[in-house]
Amino acid sequence: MTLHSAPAEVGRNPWRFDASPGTLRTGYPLTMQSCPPVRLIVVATLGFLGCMGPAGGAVSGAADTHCIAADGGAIAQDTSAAACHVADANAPMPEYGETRYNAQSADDDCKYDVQLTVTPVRQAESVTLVVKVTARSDGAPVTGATAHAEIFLNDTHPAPNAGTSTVEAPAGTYTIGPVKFDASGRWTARFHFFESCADDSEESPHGHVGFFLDVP
Amino acid sequence: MRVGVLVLVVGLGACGPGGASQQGFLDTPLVTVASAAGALQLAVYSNPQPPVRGNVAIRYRVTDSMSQPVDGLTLEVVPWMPAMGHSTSVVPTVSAVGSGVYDLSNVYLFMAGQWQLRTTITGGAADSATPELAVQ
Repeated sequence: MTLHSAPAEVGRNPWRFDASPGTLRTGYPLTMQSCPPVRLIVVATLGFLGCMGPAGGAVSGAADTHCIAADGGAIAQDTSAAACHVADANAPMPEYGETRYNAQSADDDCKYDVQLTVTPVRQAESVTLVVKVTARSDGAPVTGATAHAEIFLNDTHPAPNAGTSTVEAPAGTYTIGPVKFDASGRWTARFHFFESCADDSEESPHGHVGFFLDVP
Repeated sequence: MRVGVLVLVVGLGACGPGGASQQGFLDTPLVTVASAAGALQLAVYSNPQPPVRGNVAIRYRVTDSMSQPVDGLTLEVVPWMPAMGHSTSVVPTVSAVGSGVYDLSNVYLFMAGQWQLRTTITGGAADSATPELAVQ
């Protein structure tokens, strides 16, 4: 964007927009030499406004009920470190549950409660995903889960490479980023926990849950 | 001056690590494996090479026992982490380029570790191959 100082005749309308796209013309006699702080403020403001487009994020929808029993009680699958072992080479593909609406859900096997926080989602901007994982059995933070995110628009469109990494802090809270999105639409972010444990027993710590994310 | 810059750019291009093709694949394969039936050799290239986690481009160069390129194959590839017992939700797309070259896009290796590319081969040969990649 180019910032111009304007001639005196536009002084009655000090902040009028020029017809040229991407050009702001002001009535104030602004020059880099005469008033650099004002110019900096204007440029900074315009830059800020440029980031204020519509933002996406988690998608509102029906509350997740897959871990509520018919009698209304909560289903909570216990896990055990003793049930963690390397997968068999011929292990079948894990069965994923439905992708979840909203920003909170139990994982697919009712082992964990997962709360998702997302920074504003816009195309080509770095986004950070924060997942807080607690055990459904006792509400304790789930530590050492080595959370990974698998992010895709559809089965032929993964998220572009962005040097994503995961940090756990505080215990049971995993910050995953940066993540980038290169198309608008309804994406899926599927989180995997304890992937080094085979998903072959009910008590295995292995877990996964997917959330919808809208990208405007 | 412009000639100097041009010479410099050309010179740098010739000094790439291992020599890269126009598509960004190195001239040296990451790994070469024999098919299960032993009739085919698959030289496997990745971009980046070695592969890093994320969306990775893969190239197969398929030859027969006489080292001649094999075209006309249909490849179905499933990325698989054997130690984790899972695949990915994204299905690789295979494009036959010719001269025995098959390019795979959307190979989404979203975790670091050992991945297999479980490859089923049909069309002219009924075979399979399982190249393994260490993803950083």
